Amino acid sequence: MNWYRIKQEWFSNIRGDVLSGLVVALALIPEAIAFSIIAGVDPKVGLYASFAIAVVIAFTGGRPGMISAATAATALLMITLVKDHGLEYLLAASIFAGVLQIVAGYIRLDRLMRFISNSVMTGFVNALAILIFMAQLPELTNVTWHVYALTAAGLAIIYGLPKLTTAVPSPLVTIVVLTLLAWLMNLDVRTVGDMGEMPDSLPVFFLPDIPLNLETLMIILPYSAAIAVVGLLESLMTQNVLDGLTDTRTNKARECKGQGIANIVSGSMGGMAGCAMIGQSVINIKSGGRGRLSTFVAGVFLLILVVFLAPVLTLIPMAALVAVMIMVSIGTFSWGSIKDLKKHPMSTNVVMLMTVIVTVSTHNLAYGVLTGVLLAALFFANKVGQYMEVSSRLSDDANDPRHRIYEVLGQIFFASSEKFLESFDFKDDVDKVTIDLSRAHFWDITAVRTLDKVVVDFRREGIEVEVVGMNQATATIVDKHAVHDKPDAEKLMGH
Amino acid sequence: MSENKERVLAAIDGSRSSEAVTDYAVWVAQALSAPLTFLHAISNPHAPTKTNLSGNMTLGGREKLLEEMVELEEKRGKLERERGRALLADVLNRAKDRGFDNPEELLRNGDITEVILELEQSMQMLVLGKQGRDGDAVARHVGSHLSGILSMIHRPTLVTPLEFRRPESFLIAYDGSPTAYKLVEMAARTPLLQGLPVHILMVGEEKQGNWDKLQVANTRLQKAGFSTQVAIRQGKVDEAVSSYLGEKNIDLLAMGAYGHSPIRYLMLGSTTTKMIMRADVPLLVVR
Repeated sequence: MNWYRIKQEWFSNIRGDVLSGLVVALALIPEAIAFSIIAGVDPKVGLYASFAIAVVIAFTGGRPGMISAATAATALLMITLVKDHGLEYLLAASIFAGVLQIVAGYIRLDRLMRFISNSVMTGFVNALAILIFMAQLPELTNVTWHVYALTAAGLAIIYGLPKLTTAVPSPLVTIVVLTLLAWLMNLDVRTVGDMGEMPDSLPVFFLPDIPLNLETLMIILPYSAAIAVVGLLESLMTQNVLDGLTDTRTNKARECKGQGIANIVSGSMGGMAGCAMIGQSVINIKSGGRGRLSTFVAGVFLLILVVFLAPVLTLIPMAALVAVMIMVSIGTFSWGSIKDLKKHPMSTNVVMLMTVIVTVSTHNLAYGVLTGVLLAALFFANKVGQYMEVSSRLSDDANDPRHRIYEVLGQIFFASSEKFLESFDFKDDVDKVTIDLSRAHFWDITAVRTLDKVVVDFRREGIEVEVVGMNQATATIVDKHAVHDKPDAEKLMGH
Repeated sequence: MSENKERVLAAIDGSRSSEAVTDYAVWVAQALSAPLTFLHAISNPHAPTKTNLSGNMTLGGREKLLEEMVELEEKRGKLERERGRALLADVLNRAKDRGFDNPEELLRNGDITEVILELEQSMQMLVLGKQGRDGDAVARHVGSHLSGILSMIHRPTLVTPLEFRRPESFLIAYDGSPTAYKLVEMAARTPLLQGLPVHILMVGEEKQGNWDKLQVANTRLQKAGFSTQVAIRQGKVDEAVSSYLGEKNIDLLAMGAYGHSPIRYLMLGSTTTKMIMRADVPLLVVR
């Protein structure tokens, strides 16, 4: 145990951490309620989850000062599970997702993050922003003008107040003002109380009441896997964002395991699974939070507020929540990415936009990211495949006139092997061909097979072939797989 | 430890203690005939300076926050680097004036504790001042990083007071523990303390058992050619040791970095820390 490090991570910024923790707690409450509504469960499920996850991750997370709680990204994945099987299965799925995340941490799946390009990350946050916004639409359709008025007033306070003072959280003022307004004027608008049960006590440990059999596992497994993947994606991306902001490098594997433990605890306290939140974490940094204490304070203060203020919280009009969530949506969106659309190459834009489109249409960030990663890989292969050129000349040697020398330059692999094959003239009137590979690199079996084909095709025309200048890496892969230089090559190739 | 020619590292921060650190570092490096490097770490916290509690998120707010921080830190970083270079130049001159021919300088970005621990493998002794830069205002305040560094470093560390006084004698705070014996062993071997009269002090009851323990240390040091004096005092360790130091006009205190419970470390600091606050002689802390 390194006590100095523990002291650094927890107590090096006590004042700043406590203050920012309070700001974050106040911001977490409306979000936790809103995300519970997205998932289709009582607000208390999201609130207990946010408490449990924030407090546990403060100890177990890999990145001090990062805020984790119930999130939109994971809530979106739970909708059908809750509808078809109920809350108990959701709790079980949350716990199991945690187990999967711990496993992911041990087998270092965090390393896969390097395959997620910048455009995919941008697509991820943009899709998330759009989904959060879309989740507010049901609250804004078929309602009286009061709701629109309240929402507009809420947004005006959220964005106007910080121009006057940055000493109080403007979303909190919005909620207080709108709640008072709706209550005093006795407006007939939907309130948080209409959306389900609020927490009435401190959370207790209990295991979900489900049959422990294979059938249950098959029900929760797809949900758990999706939650685990999306949770880790958003957490590790948030970690990247924060590490970028504070110019530090923090432990990703520990974050994976930490998220897992947090979700297990959340699920056994009647909470849903969650993950790190980009918006809240940035708010935390902006409010002066650095250490683990800030996350811990956010969780504890949230619980205290919720348990003691539950009767008051039920009075909050949904319009106030919608205003806050619109702010979250706007804040999550990467504004720079719109401006970059003109600057960036088409392929980059396609990757970003497809990540957004697939996510928004499936409501599953994992599919969006997978699409983005595959597209980015294909574009990359295509680009690198273009770095291949074959030039040819006849030998200068007067004694050896019918001898053509091919020089290959660049990368030969599945994406460029077709072009490689087409670069040779098999109808040529020569006796000998030399293929100079000293500036080429063979990457895969497709490339090796294509070289074999080139050699064999020349030989079938009665032309002698010599392959020279294979560099070390090319030599290894050619030696392992090629047949043309083996004694029985002709037999193998069907001669 | 005298065989290898690993360097002596002296950490300076531009506080009042920097001059004394330089002089003591020169003394140590000359005695050990080791190379001497002066280290200054630039701490440029990568964090927003203005606390904004508005808790709202705006379009492009993430990007803007980063831009603002980069702009500010860039300026601050440049300034701090210039300041650090000037500081090191002063110190280097002072070391040359004191007769040390080719001192080296090292300027690093980062938290001083982290930087020192990274360099731990390449040094044989660390010299640093009792007061950090922020400690100037508070009398007897241990440099804010000192206890952290001491709790983690495995190399002998000399913690210097504000004034340099060439050590002419030294005291070993001895409690008969294996750590304390290691300290005696080190004192017997190091060229740094060779030839200086040594006092071995135990704080505890005056009973035969304690005298016996003292005798073990005494014999070892006498065998190494030291002229020794042993004593037992009663009372609180830090009080007893510092009054003995004053009484005998001793110029250096060698003590073990004693183990302490984590809770105590987090809340109060250790006996070592208390001793550092009290004594106005350099402390040689050995783990």
